[in-house]
Amino acid sequence: MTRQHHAGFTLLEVLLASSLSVLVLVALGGAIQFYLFQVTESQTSIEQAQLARAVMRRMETDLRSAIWKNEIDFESVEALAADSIASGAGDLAASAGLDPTIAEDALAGSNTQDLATSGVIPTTIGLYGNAYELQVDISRIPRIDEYDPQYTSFRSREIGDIPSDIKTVTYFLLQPGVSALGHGTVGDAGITETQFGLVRRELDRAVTQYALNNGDSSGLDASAEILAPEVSLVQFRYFDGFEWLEEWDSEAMGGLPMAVDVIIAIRDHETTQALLADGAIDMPVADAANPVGQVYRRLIRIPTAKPYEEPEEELDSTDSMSEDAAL
Amino acid sequence: MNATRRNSQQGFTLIEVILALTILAVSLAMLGQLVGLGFQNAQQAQGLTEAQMIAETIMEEIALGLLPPDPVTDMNVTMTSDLSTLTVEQDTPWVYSINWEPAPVDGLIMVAVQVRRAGAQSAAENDSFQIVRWMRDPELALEEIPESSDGAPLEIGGAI
Repeated sequence: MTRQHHAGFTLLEVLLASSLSVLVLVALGGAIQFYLFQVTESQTSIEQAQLARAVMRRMETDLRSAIWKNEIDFESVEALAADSIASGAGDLAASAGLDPTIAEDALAGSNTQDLATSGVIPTTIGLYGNAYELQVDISRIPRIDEYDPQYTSFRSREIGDIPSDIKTVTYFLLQPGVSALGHGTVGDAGITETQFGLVRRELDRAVTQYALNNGDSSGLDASAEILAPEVSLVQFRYFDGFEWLEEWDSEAMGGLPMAVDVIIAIRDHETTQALLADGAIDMPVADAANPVGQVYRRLIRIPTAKPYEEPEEELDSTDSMSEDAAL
Repeated sequence: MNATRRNSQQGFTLIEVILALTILAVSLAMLGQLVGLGFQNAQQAQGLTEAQMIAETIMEEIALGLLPPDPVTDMNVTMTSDLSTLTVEQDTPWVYSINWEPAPVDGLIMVAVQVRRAGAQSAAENDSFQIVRWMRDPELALEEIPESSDGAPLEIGGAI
C-alpha cells in the first residue's frame, strides 16, 4: 500500500529544487570569488607593507653602521718625530741607505696631510646624498666566507670585491622606461631586460674609489643589485640636529647627519608584473608630488653622528677625543 | 495516518522549514564569521607593519630630541605627517601615545611608544604596536653637562 503510493518527486518539485540549488551554488560561487579577490587584495597590501619594512630595515642596518673619520691630532707625533730626527733618527735612516730628507718628510706627516686633503672625489669617508640618491661608507666585519677567494667569470661585468671592513653602499632608484641618471645596466642582466626599482650597491670603499676615478661606471652599475622592483619612489632628507636638508655632503658638513628620513612608495604586485612583462608603456611614473602605490616613511637615526657645528668653530682636542670614543 | 498524509501531499511542515532555514542561517553565519576573521587578520598584519614603522619613527624622533618624551595620549599621526612634499590620497590615520617611567638603572628612563589605529571601534580594529626603549634621562644629561670629566657634550638619549 505504502509502496504503491510512494511515487517520488514530481517534475515540478525536481525543477524547483534544482533551480534553487543552482541559485545557492551561484551565490556561493560569487561569495568565494569575492573572498578570493579580497584575499588577493589584502595579500598585496601586506606584501607592500612587509616589503617596505624589509627595505627600511636594510637601509637602517646600513645607515646605523655609517662611519666618520677620526680626527687624529698629529701635533704630538710631529713633535716626537722632530725630536727623534734631532736625536739621530736621521742618522739611522741614512745608515739604512735612505735619504734623510725623505725620511724627515715621511716622519713629519706632510704626505699624510696632503693625501687627506687632495681633491679626489669624495676622499673623506662619510655620507653623501641628495633627495634621490644616497652613498654611505659603512663599517662591517666581513663574514668568514668572504675571505675565500672569489672567482668571477670573465663574462661577468661585475667589479671584483675584496674582503674589507669598510664598504661603500649606494642606494638609487631606476625609473621604468627611463635610463636617466646616467646609470647603465644593473647586475648581470641583458641589455634588453626591463630594469627598474630600488638599486643597492655594496662594494669595498677602495674598489669603489678606484672605479670612480677610472670612470668605470658601467662596472659599478653591474656590481649593483635591484633590491626591490616594486619601489616607485625614494626620497631622502637629512637632519643636521637643527633643520632638515635636501642634500648632505659629509666633507662640507664635517660629519654625518643626525638622522636620515627615508620615504619610499611601493607599487602593487600587479603593476610591477605588468611593467616587468611589457616595459613601461603607459604606466604612471611616480614623482614626488604624486607617488604611485603605498607610501612609507621611516626616520633612521645615526647614533655616531653629532649635531652640525658651524665651520668657523675649531674642534678642540676633547671633541676629537669624544669622536674617537664614539667610533 | 501515514497513508492519509501521503495521499494529501502535504509537503513540509512549518517545523521542518524553520529547522532547515535555521541550519542554513547558522552555517552561513559561521562561514561569514570565518571570512571576516580572515579579513581582520589580514588587516591587522598590514596594520601592525605600518604601526611598527610609525612607532619606530616616533621613537627615533624622541631619541633625536625632536619630540620630548613627555607622556602624551592619542596624538594624531599618519605615515607621512609633517611631510609637505608628498600628497597622499589614502593616508590611514593613527594615534600615538608616549609614556615613560624610570628604568631599574639610575639615570635611564624607559620610554614606551604605542601606536594604534585612530578611531578603532571594535577589538578587531585595535591593532596596536608598542615599543619600549631605555634611554638616558634628558634631565639628568642636562644636569651633568658641566661636570662631565672630559667635557664631551652628552647626547640626549644615548640609546642605540
